[in-house]
Amino acid sequence: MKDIFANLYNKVVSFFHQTDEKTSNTKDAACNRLKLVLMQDRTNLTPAIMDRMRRELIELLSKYMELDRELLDLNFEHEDDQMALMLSIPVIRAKNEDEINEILAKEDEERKKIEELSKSDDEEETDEETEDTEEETSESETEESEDTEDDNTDESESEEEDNSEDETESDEEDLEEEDDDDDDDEVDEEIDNDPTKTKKEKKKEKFFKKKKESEESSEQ
Amino acid sequence: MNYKEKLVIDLSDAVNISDLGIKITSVLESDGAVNKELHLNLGSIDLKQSQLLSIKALIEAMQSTIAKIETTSEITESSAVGLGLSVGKPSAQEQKPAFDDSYKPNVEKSFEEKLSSSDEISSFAQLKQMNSIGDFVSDTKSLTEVPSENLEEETQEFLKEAEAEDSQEDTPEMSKEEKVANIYDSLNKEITNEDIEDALDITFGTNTTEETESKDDVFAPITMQEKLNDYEVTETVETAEEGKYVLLDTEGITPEGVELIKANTSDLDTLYLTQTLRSGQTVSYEGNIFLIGDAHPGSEINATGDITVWGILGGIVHAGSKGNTDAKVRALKLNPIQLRIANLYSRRNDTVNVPYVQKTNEFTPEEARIENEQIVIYKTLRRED
Amino acid sequence: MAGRVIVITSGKGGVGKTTTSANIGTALAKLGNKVVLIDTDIGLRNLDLLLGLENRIVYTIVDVVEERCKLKQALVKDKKNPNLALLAAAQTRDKSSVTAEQLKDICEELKKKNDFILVDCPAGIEQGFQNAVAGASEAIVVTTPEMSAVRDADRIIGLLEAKEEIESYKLLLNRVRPKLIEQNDMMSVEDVTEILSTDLIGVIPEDTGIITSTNKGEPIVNDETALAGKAYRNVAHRIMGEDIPLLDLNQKESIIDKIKNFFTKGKV
Repeated sequence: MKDIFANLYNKVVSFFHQTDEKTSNTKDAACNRLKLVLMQDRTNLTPAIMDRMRRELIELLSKYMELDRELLDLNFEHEDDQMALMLSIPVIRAKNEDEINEILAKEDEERKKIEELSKSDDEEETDEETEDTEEETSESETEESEDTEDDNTDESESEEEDNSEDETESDEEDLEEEDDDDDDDEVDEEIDNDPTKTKKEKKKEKFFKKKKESEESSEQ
Repeated sequence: MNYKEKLVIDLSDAVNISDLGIKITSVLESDGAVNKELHLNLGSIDLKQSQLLSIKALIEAMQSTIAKIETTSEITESSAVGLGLSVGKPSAQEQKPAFDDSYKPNVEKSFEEKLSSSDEISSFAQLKQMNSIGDFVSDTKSLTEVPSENLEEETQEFLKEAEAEDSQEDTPEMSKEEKVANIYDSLNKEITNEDIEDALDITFGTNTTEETESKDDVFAPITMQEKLNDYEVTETVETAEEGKYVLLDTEGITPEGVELIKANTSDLDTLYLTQTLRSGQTVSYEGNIFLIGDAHPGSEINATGDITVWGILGGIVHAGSKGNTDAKVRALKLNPIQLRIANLYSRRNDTVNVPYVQKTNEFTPEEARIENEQIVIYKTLRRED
Repeated sequence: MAGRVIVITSGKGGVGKTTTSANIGTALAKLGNKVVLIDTDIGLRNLDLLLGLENRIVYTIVDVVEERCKLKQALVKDKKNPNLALLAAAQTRDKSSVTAEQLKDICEELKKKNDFILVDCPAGIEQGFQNAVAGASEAIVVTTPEMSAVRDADRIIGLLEAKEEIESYKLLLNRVRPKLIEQNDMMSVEDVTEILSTDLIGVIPEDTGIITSTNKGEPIVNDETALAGKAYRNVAHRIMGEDIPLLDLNQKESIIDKIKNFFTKGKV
């Protein structure tokens, strides 16, 4: 008798569960994973490189508009013989001209600073040409940098405080620098690598701040 | 048309319907007794239509069908007619069957003669001396089982597989065998010794007509040889559907330039193998091949002489591949997808769908050879101790 | 008469290439076409089993290539349909026994006297695949709504696109389970076609009848009642250029059905 009731109870519960489960299905997981895998297969890009490309794209675009980074969707599709890169990111807010100019100005400043820095270190500026070749080998680099990141998280957090928020806006520049720094001293490499990790966090912080601000302003 | 093996069950010694039921069940429960067409000899027992119907249902439940009923009882006959079954009276020959002691020396002699005189002493005969074969003995001409001395106490199970055409002629013989089979099965049901003796008296009556018949026919009741296939090379649709093996249309597919010869295979070298031959593996040899182990479906064995498989033969075999029509294929269980001897290629009948044979301890060696431009399979049934 | 040579391929094993070949071949033959099925899975042949012709094979494609017999002799006629013939693979050899050129020649020869030549491709993308594709001008890519199968199909499509001989290719989605799709636990037909961005030639539902039909050695298209058989027959019509809508596999359960099912299940 007890069994029968237990059985019935389970059935009733599972009946109601059935409808709930629809929200968490395995199909979407499969689709998403598959899309990612196929993208890699079709382009011969490793996950690390894909991730970096994604990041760089966001940094570049976020100079001009506020984006919902979490919902970025990057995909390659091929129709007939053509392959197309499909990128979709929800735009939270378009930035106005002043903001954009401000950011670009800061970026220029940053660039100048860096140029000066590198000059003072008597390092040769790397050409854009070499950049391209280095990108091919960047897979191993990024792996290296990831390793070093873990070791240096503590340091980077402290350094993070020193860096201004503006720096995040010029991420792209920094990332390029990363490549360039290949020939640099280890110290330089560390400094340049550290922000990559912290930038992410910073970006988030900044993003939420701005979101709050915009919300507040809209409330007002 | 489905290929069904025929089985004759003699129930003439049954006293009531429950006895009938037990006997039928015990026969049908034995290994390999599914999907048979049954000839029932019901003797003089009176059965009402309802009783006969229940027997029919019992048989159908065991996946066999009643092909014919033989009875001396008019009541049973009318019941059977009512159920639409074909009915007949048992022949006189049957009522005094020909299982007589007198044939024994005859057969034994003929066997001994063959052993000593024939050049064609096969490995089967030699194996007998090795004592590993024990239960069954055979020579190359006809797989002959020699009755042992204490035949009366022993019983044998004969399963006769015959084609439809032959069945009519064979019926008397088969029923005799089946009487024996029946008794064997009743033995399993713990029947007393007296019962057996009674039954044996009925079964092993005297009939001398057999011995005067041709050699093959004399052997028929005791050799347990089976002609599973007896078809013309020019395959016709109707007959092709009935045998276990069907000759392929060999027109144009036999290797050209192969001269047909009839050569003694015992003069050839023999390749001795101890392994399982798996799908995709091939063995070819100029001479005889003796394989101890199974040959799985998808494997191939080619020999210019005989092929003997001490195991289940499931792949493709080609004996006498250089055209020796005297070559033979033997196995504990012959179940090849294709069986080729010399220039004759035969394939397993489509309606016999047994690609994999279940392994049991009870195998009955079989031999395939060419007779009258046909591939014929002989089967030795094992004596039950 | 110039027949069409269609290769049936998938990349991944076990998605139903051979079943598809046997069924489409039988269905096309039933529609009155002269069809030859070529099994190129040398060393692991199975097409003969699905057609129930395993006991009739005397000569194989390797015998043809090595000129031990004529091509005509190696063609095994189907039991039921005289329009259908099988050119079997050798079981006792390997993929290197036949070259792409030789297979191409065989296809060219068969094209002259047949309407359709279906080439059953082995799994993988190695020599066996390259051989099978060599003689074909069309391809059917078989896949199932599983990640691994779709991924492999994508790879195969990429390889097919690179082949100049392949003029067109279509996708056949096999082993679709409408129930699972409804529960959102299986990629839907739309998901797969979207991901692979390829045209469909058919959708075959998962059917236990496939297993029993394999046991019997008779393709399921001969079973008039089976849904999978109907789906394969539709594919055959589509290959012949007819416009037939996809089978509705999603016979959706209404709320009432669900409640009914719940109560009937509850009874036990």
